[in-house]
Amino acid sequence: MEVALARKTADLERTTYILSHDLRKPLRHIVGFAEAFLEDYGTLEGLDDQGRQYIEEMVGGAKRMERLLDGILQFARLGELDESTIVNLYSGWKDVIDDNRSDLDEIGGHAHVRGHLPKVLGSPRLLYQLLGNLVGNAVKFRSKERPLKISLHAHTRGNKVVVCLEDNGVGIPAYLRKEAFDLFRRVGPQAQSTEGMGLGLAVCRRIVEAHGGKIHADASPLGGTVIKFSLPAVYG
Amino acid sequence: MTQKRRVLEVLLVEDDDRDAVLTRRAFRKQQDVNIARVETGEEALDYLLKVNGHIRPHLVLLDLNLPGIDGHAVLRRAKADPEARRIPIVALTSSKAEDDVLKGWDLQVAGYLHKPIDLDAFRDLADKLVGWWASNEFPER
Repeated sequence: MEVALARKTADLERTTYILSHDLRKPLRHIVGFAEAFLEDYGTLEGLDDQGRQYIEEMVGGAKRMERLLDGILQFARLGELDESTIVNLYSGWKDVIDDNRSDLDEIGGHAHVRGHLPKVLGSPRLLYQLLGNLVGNAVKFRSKERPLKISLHAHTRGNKVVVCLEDNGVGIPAYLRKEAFDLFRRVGPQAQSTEGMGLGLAVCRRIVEAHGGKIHADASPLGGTVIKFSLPAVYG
Repeated sequence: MTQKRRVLEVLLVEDDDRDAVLTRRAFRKQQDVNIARVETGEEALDYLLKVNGHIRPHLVLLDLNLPGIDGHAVLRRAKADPEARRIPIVALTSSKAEDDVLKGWDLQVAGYLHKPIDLDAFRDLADKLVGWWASNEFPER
């Protein structure tokens, strides 16, 4: 059993390496030579605007694929906790909000904390990324009909801290809430128009699971989404 | 003794012909740069260790993923030689794998660059690279 698992892990690591290196090379050749072709022959007679556009579409497709590869790689690297210390959720949250301040101000968005936030055990870097992705999602999937409101609260339950992040955005339909956390799944109603590739929530799930917790989405009393996740509590 | 360089002699160690074409293209508008290319780690070491009358380059651009003696082995051998160790070797690679990055820096790369997928981005990189290295003083070759 253990041997099989070790082999599986090794295979997975090898796959990640192939994704990060071997698949990138042919992609670079597609983009590089297509761009070189446009530079050298793009003004030739016979190649009209439509012809040029076809080649640009090829380049665009290959570049999107590179972003997907980066995404897979980023996801794969989140497998384990690099460190675990006592994390003050409140100061982590403040950092995230400060870093998103200009975006929030621009759209007239409001973020606030309800009540006391218990301390948790975890990786400050990963928890920052977790909160950052969630706030980023709230901004991305805000409703056009009302100014964005984000509300964070948390409580201790047994040896876990349950964190709830609510927004009044467009929400996730009930039947899509589970798969929203799958890699490269884009479920937002604006999935076609909003940038991104469906990595954010998958990364969040991976981070929460690396902390031994669970994450899920629900309908928020504010009218949008509430993301609930659990993290290890600090004793004493 | 050091002296100002008019032409920056660059050794490109790249086994893939297509990558070599694209790399040369990225450096094409750089003046005062001369790029010699070798395809294997063995040939790279000939230059670095001055075997067969080869002249050392000012700068090496090294693809890490080479057949046979790979980029890491080239670095290890070059850094063990009292003279070759002075030649800056910049990794120019497809790999974003963390292990490769760490290994590269452990083996004293003078830089670790990721080959951009986009030609314009590659040209920007070439521009910065030449701008930086051309302003350095080098030991006599």
